[in-house]
Amino acid sequence: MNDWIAIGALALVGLLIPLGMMAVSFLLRPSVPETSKRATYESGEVPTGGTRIRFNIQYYMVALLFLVFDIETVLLFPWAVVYQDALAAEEYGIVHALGPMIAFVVILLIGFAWAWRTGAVQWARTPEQVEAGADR
Amino acid sequence: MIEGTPLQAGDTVLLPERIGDLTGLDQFGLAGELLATFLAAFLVGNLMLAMTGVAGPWAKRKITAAFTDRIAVNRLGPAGLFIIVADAVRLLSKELIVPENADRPAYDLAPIVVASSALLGFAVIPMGSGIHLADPEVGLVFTFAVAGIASVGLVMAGYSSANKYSLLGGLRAVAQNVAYEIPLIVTGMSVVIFTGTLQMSEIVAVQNEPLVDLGLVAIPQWFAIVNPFAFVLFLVANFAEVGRNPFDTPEAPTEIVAGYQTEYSSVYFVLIYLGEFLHIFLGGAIIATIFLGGPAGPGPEAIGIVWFLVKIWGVFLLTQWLRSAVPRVRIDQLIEIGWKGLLVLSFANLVLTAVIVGLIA
Repeated sequence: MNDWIAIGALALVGLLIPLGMMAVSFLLRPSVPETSKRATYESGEVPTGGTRIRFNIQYYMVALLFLVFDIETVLLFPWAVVYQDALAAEEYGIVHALGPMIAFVVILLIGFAWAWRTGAVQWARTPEQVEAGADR
Repeated sequence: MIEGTPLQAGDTVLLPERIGDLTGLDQFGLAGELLATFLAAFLVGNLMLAMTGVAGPWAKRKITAAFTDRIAVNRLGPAGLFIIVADAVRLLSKELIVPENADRPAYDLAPIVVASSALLGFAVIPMGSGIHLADPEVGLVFTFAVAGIASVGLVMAGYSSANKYSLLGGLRAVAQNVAYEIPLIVTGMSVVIFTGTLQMSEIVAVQNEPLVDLGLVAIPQWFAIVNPFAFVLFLVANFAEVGRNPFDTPEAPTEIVAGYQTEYSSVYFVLIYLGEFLHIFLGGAIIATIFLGGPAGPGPEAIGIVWFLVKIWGVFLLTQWLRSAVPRVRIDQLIEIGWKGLLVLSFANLVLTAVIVGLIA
């Protein structure tokens, strides 16, 4: 039997288990509606304002950076798989098997160093940076 | 270390075929095979469900109690084991309170996404004793990919709850997962350099070859022994990936109540909790498979599942130990450890491994 059918079967089981638990819970649980029971939880205080609030831009910056690195891992995996074979083969030496990957990682790390310098992966400014008025 | 000729899929007997043989279902053509496959998936799914059932309501409490010198669940059954049943009934029969501003379809889907994505990762893990559901050639990448889906569920939960704590928790969870996913995968890649394949059964087979033969005992070529630096990096990145101490900032009970699960009650809470525990075990399973020889261990091959469970429970114990012993890092520290520390170290590890393997060859 194909591997992916078995994986699909587990995906089905993985859906059926939560759905089954939800069905059992639906049959068991009480429903006692009361006023303000469904209010948003804010540590017992009366909720203030909406929740679609502004949040730190850094969350967006690290997500952008992640995209670059995640694509990079996709590109590196095939290299890792064939690396030993390429070393064993006569026509390529270690320079040919390793060189391009090193060059790739170095370019990536130069970009990362730039992101590091501009503060893309820094959450908060140090007191010195605040004093100098640094823009992150 | 490894000689060309990658294994063809189907060289190892997988669980669906075994069940087909045992039950005689394989005589009934395609329908029988499909049923056998479903039964195998059902078995694997429920095995992991049982693990989390033991871990969540019972082992976690017992372990924390032992660390903090207290007595935990001990009233129901031997060593309080029946608390698992009692807790299952208790949690499922709680009233479901949906916050009034909740974004409905997303709010309901999030627990399912979290729980089922974690379960799916176990499809390609060889658990020993013939419990191995599927063995595609992309095995390792598949587990990483599937484990990553949980981030979507967490941000869904955080955003749709319409709660400030939940929103912050969801955002933190995503920032953390994306920061530590890269070191995790890059360190995993340094193992692939040794194996030359992504197929899980092959990765385990390579590790069972002896590294040093000491006459009486042979030290196996487990990658935790071959490359302990990568093992430590992977272990740390894994704790961050599953959001356990010292990296449990997304939930951080003393800061943001319970993070993305603040507004979840009843069965939804159970499902998110279940998903988290499944993720701890999935992380343990990946560690066991690519660093600790999978189901390998002393004794006959038939008890492989025991060794596998010992290894994943070992990782679980470690998470609980850290939970009791290590303080939580702040969110800014967490991001800086991830991007400035682990990421750089994991690339150093990858390049060094490649250079050393190249020079030896």
